[in-house]
Amino acid sequence: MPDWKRYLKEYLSLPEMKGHREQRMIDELADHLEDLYREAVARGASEEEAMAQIEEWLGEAGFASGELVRSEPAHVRSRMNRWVEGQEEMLRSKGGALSRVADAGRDLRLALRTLAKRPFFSGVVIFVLALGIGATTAVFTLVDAIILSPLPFDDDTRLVDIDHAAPGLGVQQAGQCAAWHFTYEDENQVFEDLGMYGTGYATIAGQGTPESVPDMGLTTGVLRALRITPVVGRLLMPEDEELEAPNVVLLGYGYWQSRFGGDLNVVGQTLEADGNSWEIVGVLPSDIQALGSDPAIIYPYRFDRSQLFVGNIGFGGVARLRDGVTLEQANADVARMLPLAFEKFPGGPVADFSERAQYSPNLRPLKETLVGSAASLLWIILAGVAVVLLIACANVANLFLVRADGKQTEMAVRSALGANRRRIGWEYLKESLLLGLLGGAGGLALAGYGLDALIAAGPANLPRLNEVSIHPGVLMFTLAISLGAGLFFGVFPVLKHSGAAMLDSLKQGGRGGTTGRASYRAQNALAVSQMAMALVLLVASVLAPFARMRSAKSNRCWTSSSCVSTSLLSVSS
Amino acid sequence: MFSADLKRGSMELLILSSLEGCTRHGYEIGKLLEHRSGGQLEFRVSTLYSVLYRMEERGWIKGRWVEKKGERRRCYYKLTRKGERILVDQRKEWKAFSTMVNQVIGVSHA
Repeated sequence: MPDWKRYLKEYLSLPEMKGHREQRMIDELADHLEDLYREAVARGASEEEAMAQIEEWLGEAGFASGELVRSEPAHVRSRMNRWVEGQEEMLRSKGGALSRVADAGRDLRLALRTLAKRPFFSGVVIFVLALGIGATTAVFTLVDAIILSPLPFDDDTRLVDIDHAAPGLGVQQAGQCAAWHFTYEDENQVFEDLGMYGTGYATIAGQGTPESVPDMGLTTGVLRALRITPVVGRLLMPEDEELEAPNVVLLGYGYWQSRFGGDLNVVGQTLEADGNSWEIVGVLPSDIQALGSDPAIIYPYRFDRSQLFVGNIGFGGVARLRDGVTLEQANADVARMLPLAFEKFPGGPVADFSERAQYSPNLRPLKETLVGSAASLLWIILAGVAVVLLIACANVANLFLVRADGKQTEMAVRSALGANRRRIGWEYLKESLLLGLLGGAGGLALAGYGLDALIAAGPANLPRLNEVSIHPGVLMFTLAISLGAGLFFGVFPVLKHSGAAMLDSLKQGGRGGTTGRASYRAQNALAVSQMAMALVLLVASVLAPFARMRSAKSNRCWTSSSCVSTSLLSVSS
Repeated sequence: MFSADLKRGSMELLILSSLEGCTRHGYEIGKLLEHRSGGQLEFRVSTLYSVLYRMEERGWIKGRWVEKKGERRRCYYKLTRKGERILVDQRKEWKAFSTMVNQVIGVSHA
């Protein structure tokens, strides 16, 4: 009696199916054929006649195979594959670039199938890449929001921080004071608008338990310079700065949401703050946080100009330069006005001290002031995670090289059959690019989850955190590093198994099935580079805290605790 | 005798009914259908098993490899609960459909 299993394997052309279903089919059909054969012989048929009947029962080989394959659970997938193949054929028939797109699509589909057959290898590679790409994407998202993106104010390149240096006292960033502010307001030739602000805390009472909330006092020129428009109600106006004006206040966006539930009818309501009643006249957008504080309430400064002198320095100053005015011209104009301030606002308990300080202008772009110290820290962290990504890529490259050793005979045969170097290279690269993209997708998901953790674990005084989000620009960055990573670890097998090296490998592989010493050079180089990068990372992680301390020293004021604190009562007096 | 399409269209119902109340292996199912139809229903091996696998995939029947004493190891199929419900539904449907077709083509019951 024939070996029915072997007979069926030769007769039918069943592909590899999920869960080795093809083996079960062969086993069952072999049982069935054996029964049919016995029955035929029992009825008196010769062996030849019995075999002829068997072939009749089986039917034409291609048709029988097709019927069995269509019963495979993945028949839906097969249908989808047929649809995709149909689309590829349609593109190919149009020729030109579309034909190449169709070829690339087919190659990637085949690469996906190949990777699916090695789930452990693919899983490890995707996991390692997702970690590296995810960390890089998360940190880049911070860098992009805090450093690269413009400030959320109209034409932000014209915004400057009005600051002063006191070289006589060895202070580089002394800040602004009311006497200087009003002098510049009256005498300047370079500013379109300018203002002064400070942060502190106010105690809100009236509804429920009294609470201490961050506040911001400002001259109304700040809002004009920043070109802020209110979410609800109106902005603070110059008349609100009059000494006898009624008490009015703006709400910060976050406080409006949390305390008033975003109530649009909040305008006109009264707030009890620091023992006084304040009428709410509007709500500011969250953009004001770009100044480094998230105030719950914003109130107007009221100064009695007759009482002012050059002193109480430490406020923040902001101005919008007139169109065409350079930073150098603005600094020169402030240098011209500094002596005028002493004439306009003479006296004060520290007049001699001011002369000794030798105040000089120190105007800088507003963005530089707001993100300057955080920028250096973020660039260091980004460099660190980039090195981690490189180490991950080097690890994956090693895995690829080991795996490529197993494919070199196949590639050598392909080469011998006429495949050119580009085709052979693409055979390696298509899998690495696909893995890079899959790792990028995983990394993006990790970055989404990891960003909140990163913000929570990072310094509390990082500016512009309310602007952090994964937007299309970040997605393009992730796509670029995913493809770059795929190209990086895919190119090593291409270089290793190209040209003459491939013929050598064919000889070596054919003779002993082992890899030559020369072929380990790439692995060794990768191992050495990994060690070097790990060392760089170690040194960077040791130096980072020192850089942080240094930047913190040069930082004038990020948190309200290091700023001049003003209360509603003291400033409005 | 009957067209392949007609046979294929009714095959699931035939297999479900052959498994009602008992377990059978593929060869036995094929022989039972041939026997009950007086030799008029014969299926190609690949057709029979492709339908069996598809029905198993849908959860109508369940195959299990059993080694009985004195026999070689075989895959026996039995109806699942879902398969029992499908059999009831398909029987009703077939009855209604055949009655309707008979009405349309003008064949009366004997």
